[in-house]
Amino acid sequence: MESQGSSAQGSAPGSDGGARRERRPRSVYAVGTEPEPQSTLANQRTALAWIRTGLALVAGGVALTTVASTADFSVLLDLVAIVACLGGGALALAALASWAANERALRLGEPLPRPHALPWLAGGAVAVGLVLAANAVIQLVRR
Amino acid sequence: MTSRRGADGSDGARPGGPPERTALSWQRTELAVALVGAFVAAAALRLGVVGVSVAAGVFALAGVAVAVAGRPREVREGREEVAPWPWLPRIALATAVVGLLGAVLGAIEVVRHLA
Repeated sequence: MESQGSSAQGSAPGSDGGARRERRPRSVYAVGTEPEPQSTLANQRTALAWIRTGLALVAGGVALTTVASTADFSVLLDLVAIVACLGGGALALAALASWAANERALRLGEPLPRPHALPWLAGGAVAVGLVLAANAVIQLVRR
Repeated sequence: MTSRRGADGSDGARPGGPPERTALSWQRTELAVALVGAFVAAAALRLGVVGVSVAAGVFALAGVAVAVAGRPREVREGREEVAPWPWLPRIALATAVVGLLGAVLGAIEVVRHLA
């Protein structure tokens, strides 16, 4: 990987100077060499974007709960809201694990791991959309 | 890489480069935590669940306080840089707790519907 050849200190792999001993988490910073600053900053921004996606899920779930409480909607909406809120929280924690795995891969010059949360998020969004659409159709037919 | 970076940790060759984008991303996320926390607090208050409302309100205020206090930083090799640790786990945990509070709110509504 290109970043390995341009380590900040140009030192041997595994030596980052005294600063590395102070940096946490050790499971990330105790291995490899310092990657390109752009790469590590982009990794941070990606993790933060995942966390914001989780927050959007939580906000959507709470909005569904509020909407469901204003009228006599089915319990299904509340259940979808609970899944959205829990999914949002889980996505934020997954973002943290993904950041650590990516940072390790960057430091070791290995290929970046695949985004495990992405298929779950896409599948979940499609499933929730289908459930809500089916619920709306059923409500319309009943009237 | 070090030759392109200024003493303040900014990318000297490109003002508004990756360090600034990352700092802005931190602030967006902190404010989003505050906003969603306030939203959960307001929704819980409207539904009459005071405990959840107070807890979410505390997270909202904490999010605002962190955002106003400035971006997380660390001094590394004589340069000041955005520090991902321990702020990243804290903000992820705060999001998880706000999500849990939202789920509790939904569960209370389910119980009310079924009662």
